[in-house]
Amino acid sequence: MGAYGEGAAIVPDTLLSATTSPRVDLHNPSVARVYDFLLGGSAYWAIDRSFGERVIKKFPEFRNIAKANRLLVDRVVRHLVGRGVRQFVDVGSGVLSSGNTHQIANEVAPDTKVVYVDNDPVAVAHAEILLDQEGDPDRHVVVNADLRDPDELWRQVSSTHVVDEDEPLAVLMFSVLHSLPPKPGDSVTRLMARYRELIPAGSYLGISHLTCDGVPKELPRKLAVLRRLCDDWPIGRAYCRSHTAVEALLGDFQPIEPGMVWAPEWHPEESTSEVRFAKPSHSALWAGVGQKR
Amino acid sequence: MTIRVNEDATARRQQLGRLLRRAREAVRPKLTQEAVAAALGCRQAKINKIETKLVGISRSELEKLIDLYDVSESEAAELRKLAELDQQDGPARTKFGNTLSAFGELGEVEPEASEIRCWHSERLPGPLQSEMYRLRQHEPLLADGNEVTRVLRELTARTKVFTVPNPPLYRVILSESSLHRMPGGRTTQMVADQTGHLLRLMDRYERLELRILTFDADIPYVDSDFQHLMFDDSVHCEFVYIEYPGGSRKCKNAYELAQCREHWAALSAVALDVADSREFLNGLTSQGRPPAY
Repeated sequence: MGAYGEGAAIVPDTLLSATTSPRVDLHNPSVARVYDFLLGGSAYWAIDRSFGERVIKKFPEFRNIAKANRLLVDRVVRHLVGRGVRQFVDVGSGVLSSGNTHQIANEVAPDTKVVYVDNDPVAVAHAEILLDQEGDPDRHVVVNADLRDPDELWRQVSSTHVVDEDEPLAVLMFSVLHSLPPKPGDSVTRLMARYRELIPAGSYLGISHLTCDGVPKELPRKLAVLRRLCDDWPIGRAYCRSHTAVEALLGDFQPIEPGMVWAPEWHPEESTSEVRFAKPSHSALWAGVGQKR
Repeated sequence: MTIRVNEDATARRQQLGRLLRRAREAVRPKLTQEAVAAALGCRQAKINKIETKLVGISRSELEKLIDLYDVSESEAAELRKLAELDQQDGPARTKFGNTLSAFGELGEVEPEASEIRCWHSERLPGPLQSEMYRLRQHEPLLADGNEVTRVLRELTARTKVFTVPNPPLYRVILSESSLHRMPGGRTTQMVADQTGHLLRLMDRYERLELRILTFDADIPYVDSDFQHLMFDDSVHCEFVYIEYPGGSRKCKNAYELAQCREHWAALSAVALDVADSREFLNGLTSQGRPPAY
């Protein structure tokens, strides 16, 4: 396995705690707001734009990778609503701008419930304000919780009394698990195992994850440039995982067709818009959904 | 219907607001917030704040709503329980509570004005503040993620002066100093963020007339900040709002109003026009950008 293979770190592990702290950071860019900038939103600050512009200058493909992830969310929600799912827990939901889970779900099933989860206080504030204006307080809510504490996260989700755990739901973890560094003792595996225990039977778990596995040969070098930018500012980190490792995050959940594939290949027929790649592997994202039997 | 009471105080207020909104929306024929406000003898904004958990509700107001919404006995009992617990929790305690309250009152009246004339020297008025600027002002409070939401909600509420139907003509003259004095200390990122925000506001809202008074303007002196609100209706009286450490005052007598008009005319005579002000802000925004990577 080369230098950019399974578990290869894009940023040093020691920086992780600083950017996942619940205390608002007013001095550095945030992952959620930079993502909003890349998607053409309006909720980012000048410092997020500055960082985003530097990323795009060195790694122009990254904007399309971010868009591919957002379009994946759209397709997964539509597909799962088509399977009868009416409850979503969107973990790492970021700044809600356009094309959010509840907006997509409302288009196809107006009774759908969504709990948004993030640990960025500004992202949570934006979600609360947006849901004040257009959400249904009985069906849409946001909680401030940390992905790394599944029991507390699930307690907060349950305490909203929005989702009914006697009915199937879908937990969405799109482009969020790659913030978890590979650590000795396989703590990420245990973390995901706990989420799989907490998720009710009949429910779904959807994930997307950055990878260096099978991508075009120039991409690992650009991902290394991204690493250096993240080191300099600092901003949250992203760790690549191989196809095997990402698939393992679904554990014993039954993958639904087409399995763990490149993000653009996951049910493209559900697309309402698209971003074009020369090849699906240029998205650098594995994507899959599993169901708990 | 069973209503489960949350252990968390903030979540309890959230729950109370949500249940009251649901009860109002269940009434047939439909009850608007305006109609409820009329029944309670208060403003629509207060009903909105009760439902969006920004303020608590007194026992007498709650009983009026219980009667108005014709809720069941079990629902009424739980609403009373939640309200009682909320009263025990008390209002959010903040060092800047009085200041935030003053902004809140002004924020309620501003959208109803026909014209607002503002002069600001070192501190930008609420409706013009970027998120970063506003949060930096309250940074000592922000260890609690709920405070971030509250501060950004206040900011959103202040921008209603631009977005209400028939918004007032909002004429503001900013001293050049207000674009250099930044909360927590001047940084190029802060200046770029705030001046970029002002330019976006100018693009978006045609009723906003923003002009800059530069340091080299030919004016013998400038007076302290004021906001002069004028009304077309018979409900409100024209007044000038001024703030000072620990308090605020409304000036209504003819002499004070005349003095403010006179000073406004003096400032207006030497301030940059809108186009030149825009160019001035563009200059600051580009200076604020860090050098290319």
